[in-house]
Amino acid sequence: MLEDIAIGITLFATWQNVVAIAGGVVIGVIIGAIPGMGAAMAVALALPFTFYMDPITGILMLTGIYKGTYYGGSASAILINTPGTPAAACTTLDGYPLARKGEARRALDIALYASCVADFLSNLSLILFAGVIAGFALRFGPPEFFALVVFSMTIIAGVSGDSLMKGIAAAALGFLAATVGQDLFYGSPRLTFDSSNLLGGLSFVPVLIGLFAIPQILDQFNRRLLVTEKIATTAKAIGATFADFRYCLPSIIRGSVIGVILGAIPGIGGAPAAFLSYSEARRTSARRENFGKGELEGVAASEAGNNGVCGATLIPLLSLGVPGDIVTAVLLGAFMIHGLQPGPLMFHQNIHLIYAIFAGLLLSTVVLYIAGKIAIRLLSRIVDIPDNLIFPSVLVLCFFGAYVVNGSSFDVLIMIIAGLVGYLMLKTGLPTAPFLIAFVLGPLFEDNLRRSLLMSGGDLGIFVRGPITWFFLALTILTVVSIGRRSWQDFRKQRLAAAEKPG
Amino acid sequence: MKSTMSNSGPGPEGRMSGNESRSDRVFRRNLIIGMTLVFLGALFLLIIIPIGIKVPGHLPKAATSPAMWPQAAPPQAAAALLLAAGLILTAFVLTDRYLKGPTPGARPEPLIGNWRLVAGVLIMFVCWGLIPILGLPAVSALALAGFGYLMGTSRPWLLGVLAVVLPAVLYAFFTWAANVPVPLGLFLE
Repeated sequence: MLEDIAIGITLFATWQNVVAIAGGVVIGVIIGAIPGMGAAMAVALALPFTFYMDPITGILMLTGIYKGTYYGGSASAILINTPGTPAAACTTLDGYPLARKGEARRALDIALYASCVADFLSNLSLILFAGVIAGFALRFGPPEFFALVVFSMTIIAGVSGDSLMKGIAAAALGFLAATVGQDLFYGSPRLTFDSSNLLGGLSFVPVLIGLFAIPQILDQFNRRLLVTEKIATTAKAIGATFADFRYCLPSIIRGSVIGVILGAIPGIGGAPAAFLSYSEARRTSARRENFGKGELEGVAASEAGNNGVCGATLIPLLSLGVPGDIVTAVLLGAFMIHGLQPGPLMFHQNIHLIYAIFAGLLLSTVVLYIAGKIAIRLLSRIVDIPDNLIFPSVLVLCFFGAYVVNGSSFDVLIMIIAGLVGYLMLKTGLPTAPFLIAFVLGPLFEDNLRRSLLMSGGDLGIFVRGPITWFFLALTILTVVSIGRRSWQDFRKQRLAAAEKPG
Repeated sequence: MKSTMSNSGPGPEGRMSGNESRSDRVFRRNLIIGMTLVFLGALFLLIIIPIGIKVPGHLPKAATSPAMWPQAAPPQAAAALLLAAGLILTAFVLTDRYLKGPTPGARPEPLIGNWRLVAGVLIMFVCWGLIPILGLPAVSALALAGFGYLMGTSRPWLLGVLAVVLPAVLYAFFTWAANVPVPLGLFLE
């Protein structure tokens, strides 16, 4: 085995491979920072360039791009409140408030540290536990997925702000928005009203951009000192300290583990991992009430969950030959173009190549750290630009970002309408985060619910069929009971205070 | 469970005269939000979903129907949830008012701050409408210039340069680097 590892490292240790992975990460960070350009698009665009490369070089370049885009997405989420992907949307919840408080550099730093730690742990899990995790992931059927999604949704209570009812109402609206399009099973139209543009459903990216970026731009018109007002810059040069990192470390490690487990399950992706990690960090944090208002731990947890997925999505790909998402499907294509077939046989026939890829993945974490540090120096200067130049520029990015996802101007209209809805929500105190969570998790919820019921012939007993569903449903019940108890206590306190009020 | 808006609360202004009317406005605003949610929930449940969701005939199991009612959740349950949340919110707003009376110092946020906001929204819609005619780069340049002007830029020349350079750079990136076609409208020639 040691001999195989040595041969693998020798295969990897060429300047072409190092340049490929470094170039891939840098390209990924840049592309990820552009709204609308997600990992799938970036990897798909780079695929043709790898045709003439050595298999290891090509695959390492693509994985570098994949990892880079995941981190790059956090930059636009933190700095301009424009998440390019659903996974990065969770980072905006605390990242942008931190940027508005003049702590953009700190938020970007902690996002980078969390990303690197999560990426490293994810790679390590891939190398050490691929077989075990793949086996566990295969035990996830629709009922288990459903139980997991239900548990992930308990975070809605945590991000509802002052009013739980407003949060639930916003989530219900998000669910309704997620049902637009063709029915998942029958292909019959739902809430499309004969518009062919709506048959594919509401695209994630235009809705995300509209919901988060446009309300902030429009809200500028309500501020009086347009010319002089800008993001507080007094603390912009102060990055995250070691104490910050140490404080966030438990959430980072927890988020990484969540990312690894969810990443190994085909079809889940980064968004649920980011939300679940965020939810767990909030539940266990001593500064729980600060979440959503600019809490560093929130950024760290979200990014750890998000990036923990990266290496782990390669587990089912390499060990079983099953792509977990669009990006790994493109990577599967890259393997096949080079005459390689990922799966159990690959570990016997091309073990040297596997070890070479593992070595490259470990290096990619170091490259990500260096590229991220350089990017932060450049990107954090964005906060120096006056509001009356930065917000119109962000609007242009929104127009392009919404358009390029599907090459459709209808998506620009969706973005504008989502922006107006987001603005109304901002002004009426309806929180946007529950809307977003329901919109992202809604299709997963419905799809797995209906698959499960189809499997069982309508018998609800399928949702308690095994230890995994029991585990997640028990966690859900515990969380709901805890939320209910806390809400009741708050309610009683209010009533007592009202009763004691003189007069 | 709080049912008042986050911007309400006692403060120095709370002792000033005229607070009653501000508090009344907050109360009215929250009441309107609650009632609007009830209305929206009912609208979806009774009109939009029955009209907008086509249920194919001869389904093998009701559990797999696109309408999913009553066996499982979305989308009717989402509408029912909206209705319920609106009802509870309205109830809380009313009971809060009954028990606590007006909240001192409460101030509702203006929905439409000024004419600039309306103009900004109009610019976005007009720009969207102009995409097939002028193309995305030109429309983006117009939007950037319009928003920059409305936000009261002190450096119009810089705004002008930015309005040309930024859409051009994005166009070049998406067209040549990312290979994503961007519409040019009349400028296609």
